[in-house]
Amino acid sequence: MSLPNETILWGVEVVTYESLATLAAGLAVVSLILSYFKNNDLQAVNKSWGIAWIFMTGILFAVPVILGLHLEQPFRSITIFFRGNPTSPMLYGVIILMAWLAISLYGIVAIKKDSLTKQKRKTLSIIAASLGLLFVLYLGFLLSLMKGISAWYSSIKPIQYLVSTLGAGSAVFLIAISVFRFFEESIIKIVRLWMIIGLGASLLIKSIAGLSASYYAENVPGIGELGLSFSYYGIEWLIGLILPLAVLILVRSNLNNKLLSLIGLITVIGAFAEKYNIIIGGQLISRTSNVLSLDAQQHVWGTSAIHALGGIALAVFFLIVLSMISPVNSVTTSSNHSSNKKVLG
Amino acid sequence: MKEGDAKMNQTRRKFLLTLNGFLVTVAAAGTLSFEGKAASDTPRWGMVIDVRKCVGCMACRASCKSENNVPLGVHRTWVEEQEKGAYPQAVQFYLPALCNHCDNPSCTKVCPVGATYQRKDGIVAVDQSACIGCGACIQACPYGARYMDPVKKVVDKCSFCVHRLEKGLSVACAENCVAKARVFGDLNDPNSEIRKIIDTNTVMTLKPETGNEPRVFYIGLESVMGGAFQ
Repeated sequence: MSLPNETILWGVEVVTYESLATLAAGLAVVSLILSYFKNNDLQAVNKSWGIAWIFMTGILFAVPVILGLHLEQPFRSITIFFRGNPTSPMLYGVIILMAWLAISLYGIVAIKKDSLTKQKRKTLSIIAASLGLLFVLYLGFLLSLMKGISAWYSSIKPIQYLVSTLGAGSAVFLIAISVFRFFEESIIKIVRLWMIIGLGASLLIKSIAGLSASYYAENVPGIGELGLSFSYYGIEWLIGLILPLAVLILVRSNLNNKLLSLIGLITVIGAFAEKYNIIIGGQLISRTSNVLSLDAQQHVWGTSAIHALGGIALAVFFLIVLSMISPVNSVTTSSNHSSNKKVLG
Repeated sequence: MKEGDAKMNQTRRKFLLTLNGFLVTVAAAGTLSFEGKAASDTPRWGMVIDVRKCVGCMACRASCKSENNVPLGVHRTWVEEQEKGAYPQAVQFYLPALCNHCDNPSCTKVCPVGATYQRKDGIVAVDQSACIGCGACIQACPYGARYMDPVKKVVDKCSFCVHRLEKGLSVACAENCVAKARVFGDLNDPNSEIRKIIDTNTVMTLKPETGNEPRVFYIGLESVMGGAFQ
């Protein structure tokens, strides 16, 4: 039996919003790694950085839109800027998100104008990665304050959110380079290593979170009772975490580009599943420690799912627009040109 | 040396006297402030519910819905039906619940715009014109007392019938309780019925481990439920 007012208040749209923010933060970290990456082929590094930045910005721009759709009255959210409550983490989250968006846009303009120096790229990457990581920390911290949802009320949540960005960001980057058909072996090598570290850290933290949850879960329904066995064990752990990690570690030779993209894709699906299990799974447990009634579960999908799909479509739209206006492809030409020169020389 | 000792003793005596005076002043101020709080002019509204008296008639829920125009599917107050033990020794009892108007509310802290706030009289209120409908306060409430108004798309909850209090009336649920299981009043008034009940009975609150310090007290919880909120 659950309480009469209990329902799935934060549905799939919140899952999507948090997942997209995680992917964007992960890409910001990848762009930071690339800005410090030493390689003789400077053009290749520049182009990889540009791809990471464009994907980060495209995904990030969809984040506040989904948030607005979730509020059902998006313009009232402007109130936060006029009467923000200093004790609420949400106020700081919005400020961080706005600053992150501004920096991303500045980077896009700089790419368009071709005015990015090595130092400027480093500075932008440091700021974007810091803001991205702060934002995902905020998302985890916000959940960890919610006394009504026992599965969220845990100090591990912010760390789990922070760590999950690392592997997910590398995964999106692997998809991004296959979209742009730009496979630079040395860059793939460093991103692959970073992805192994990220997924390994995620495996460790999630194991600790799982063990801690099972320790405290004496009177709380299990994953099976909540109906999340497939999404939790199947998609989140097996497909989204263990399988890509095993392939990346065990297959020592250079991986096929298509296989790399596939690994990226399943890791991203795993990142979505992780957020789904945390957000929806947490709310499925009633304050009475029972499973939420079926009537109360109707808000998981429905309009919420349409908002989520709209948000993803918007992210893809932003990506297409940004890819069209940014000169990433011209970098390829100049890169090829310079490599041809080297060969001829 | 003797003169030096005498001077040191004098200084020590002076220090001890000053310290003593300071401590007496602090203690007196503390007592005064405590008494001031106890017999404050500002009321501190609260409720006591005797679960042994509740018969589960739902008059409180119906009167609240009617008084506050609460939409279908959501509730400002409700009565949970609980069962304890197995047949033939099974016991059924009722647990009326509502917003606890906590002294340390977790909902007000997470509201990004301060739309939910605590008044001087302890009532945790919602300014619906400022609410942005993010639902953070709903997730932060350990009692499930808040809901999203399906019509207005803003958060709503029990207001301790503040519109009635302003007219000198009591809350609708307590007024309509057939068994007088609910008693509402000023916790700061030593002569109020609620204060007398709390002073003379063993009272418990729901989920005290959250640190929210609820101001809805229960009598008889330990006898029917062993103190556990399930």
